[in-house]
Amino acid sequence: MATGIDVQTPLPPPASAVAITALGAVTASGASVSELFTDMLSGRRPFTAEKIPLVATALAGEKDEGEVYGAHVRCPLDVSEVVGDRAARTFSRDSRLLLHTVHTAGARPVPEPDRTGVVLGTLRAGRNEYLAIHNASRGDGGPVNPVWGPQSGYNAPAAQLSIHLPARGPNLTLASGATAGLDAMVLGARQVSTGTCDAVVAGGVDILSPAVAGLPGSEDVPEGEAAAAVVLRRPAPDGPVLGHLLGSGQATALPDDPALGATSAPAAAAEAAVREALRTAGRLPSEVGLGLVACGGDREAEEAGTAALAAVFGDELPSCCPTRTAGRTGGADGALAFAVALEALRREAVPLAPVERRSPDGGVPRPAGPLAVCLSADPGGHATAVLLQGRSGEAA
Amino acid sequence: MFRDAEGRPRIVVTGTGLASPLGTDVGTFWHRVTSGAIATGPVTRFSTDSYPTHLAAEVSDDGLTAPQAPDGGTPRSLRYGLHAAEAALREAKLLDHDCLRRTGVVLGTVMGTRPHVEELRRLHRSVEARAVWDAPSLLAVAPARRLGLGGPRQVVAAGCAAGNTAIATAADCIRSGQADAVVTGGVDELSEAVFGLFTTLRALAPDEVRPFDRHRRGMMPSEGAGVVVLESLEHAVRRGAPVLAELSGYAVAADAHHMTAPHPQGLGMLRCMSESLAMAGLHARDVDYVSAHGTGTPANDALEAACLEDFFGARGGHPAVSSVKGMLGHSQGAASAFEAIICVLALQHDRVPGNPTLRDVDDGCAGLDLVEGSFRDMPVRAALSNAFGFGGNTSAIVLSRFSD
Repeated sequence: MATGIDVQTPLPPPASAVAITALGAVTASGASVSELFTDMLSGRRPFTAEKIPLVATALAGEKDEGEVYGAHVRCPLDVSEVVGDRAARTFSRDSRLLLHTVHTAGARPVPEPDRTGVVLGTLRAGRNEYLAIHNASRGDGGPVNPVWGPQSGYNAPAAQLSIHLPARGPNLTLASGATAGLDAMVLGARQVSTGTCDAVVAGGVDILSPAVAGLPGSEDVPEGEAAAAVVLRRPAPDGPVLGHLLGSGQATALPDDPALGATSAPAAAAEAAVREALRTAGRLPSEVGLGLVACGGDREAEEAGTAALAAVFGDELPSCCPTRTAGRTGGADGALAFAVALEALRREAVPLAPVERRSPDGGVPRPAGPLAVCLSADPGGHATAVLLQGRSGEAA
Repeated sequence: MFRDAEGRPRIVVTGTGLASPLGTDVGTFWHRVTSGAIATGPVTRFSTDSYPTHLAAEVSDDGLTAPQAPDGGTPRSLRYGLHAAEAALREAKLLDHDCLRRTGVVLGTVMGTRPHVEELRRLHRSVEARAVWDAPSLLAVAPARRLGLGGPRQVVAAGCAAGNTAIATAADCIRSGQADAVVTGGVDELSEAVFGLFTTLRALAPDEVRPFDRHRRGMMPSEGAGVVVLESLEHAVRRGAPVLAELSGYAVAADAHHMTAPHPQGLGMLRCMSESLAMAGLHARDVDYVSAHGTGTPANDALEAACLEDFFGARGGHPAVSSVKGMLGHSQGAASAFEAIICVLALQHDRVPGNPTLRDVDDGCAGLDLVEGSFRDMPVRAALSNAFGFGGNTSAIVLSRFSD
């Protein structure tokens, strides 16, 4: 660790912390955070080449499909029991994936729809429907499947979720790049802490597309599809709590800023974001025992994130990157890191694959402190960090 | 002086900029939008020969719209956003200012850079590699890097409420202390896919967009970017910036009802009007002008008119109402950003734009004070701007004449 301070007794979450009361994730590893965690521990990389349709609700006779190498979600995403058969048929795959995730997380129904918001990160939502519409309309003027229309914008999954929770509070979709998933957590927490909402469903989602098919071996980490979601609420004395979001930081650095010196813009932003998360939480670097980095699969940004963690916490902080297992999941990347961090704190285990473990016996290392930091950075020089405390890290 | 009655930092507008089908500078735009100029016309970006309608509104500045290179060049949405952001910063006297390190960018959009794929396809370019044509974050990253903005960056999607939603998100950024100033608004570019979709939905007007008219037959797609510079009042005063208006209230919500149909009782609309005025500390009778969402579709205008009449009528208000979509078409993410700029200009000039395509008021809209003709000169103390979108996204902002 960077400092010699050893915190023996974990501090309780401060009054300003935001409670996490539900958690879910669906990835190529399975329909739970636990299954993703297990794959990370074993080093399994569930990347396959599969033929997929452009849209889930194609008109009869349409043949838009293609083979895609990536991290495919294979569990059935049947949401008919949740929304009814008729509505389920109109759902895009990204909306279906998100709703399935939120449902399995136990987030429905929400107690006060007027006081519940949705904040979602996504970079690709609606892409396939947009292309399907263009495929159908260009040249001969259509017609297109009208079901695709409202699914073709970035806001579609969050909107579908608001309808079926229901949640009538602010409904925000963030498409800000690699940080979008963690940005959703930060903005959702702010909606709760400022009293705008009593509860926020925050997360991220993205799916694969045959229009941008990857090839086996063409990239170290291919694209993937996934969703992760949590419910954020004000801390309450009763009810289940999975953990707390203690603090957050967001920072931007411009590449041509002479003040950066030899440090890259993403690294400078990442370090500033982490320090801000610690500052807003009022916590010390020595309390952080685990780092999760989610940088959209961009090598430079990931190195910047790792360098930032080393600068703040020292070289010994165990850190990992769910993207290597779940694929480049766009707006879900940061949300998955958040979910994996909570699971790691719950299990008191760092999800490092055998080849990444430094312990002499090859055993699974424990987090070196009661808190976890999640960090996203994009190559453009923007970074977001959050500081989490698991339930087991709280004082009795 | 620097905080409102609830202790929140006051937020002011210090700059405006746009790239619109009615001009790419604010002066020209204001002249045209208060002269009854109609921007909708034959589509030039793609062939509409096979479509039953052929009209939309396009930005007509070659420097912003012409294909730049054989590889398709920069998406038009990026060019529009950059142009508008630079103009807004210039008016705010922030270009090259030393405080840009804490100036952010928050832009709203419906389709982002996604329509650029159509340009690539027209040029027979491959789109199967990494989808660089579908990179919404560039809308914020590009102006930040070009203009040296070191504050928070965000791209917000909220259907056609995206412009107002971005403005609300930007104001929250300032109030939370993340930024001193934010370049914010909305952007979208004309898209054949959107044109095709609304053709199938039979929502496109064949001749004219006529909000609130008995014979209205639909909307027309449009495009562009509208941007305002928001600052904390304290920051603006400290650097001696010109204050154009105060963003005194804002609200976003969800209908949580249907992906395309608004809530039949207008729950989200009413909530946003109520909450934004409450934040502003204003009564309904303090609002002199409402910039309506007013798409020109039968469903939207009837419901919005009923909600406006119920909301203001019950509270003793009777504001002038107009929708500029009869002139500009519906520019999606940019629409409410254009309308925010119009509200700022209305406060400055004591003049509001009219409904120049309105000839025969629909019975369901007759309770509103719809502005006839091209404009009306009248005192404007506060203006409310509504925006609603597919997915049930709703939003409203209140802009007030600045007074210290």
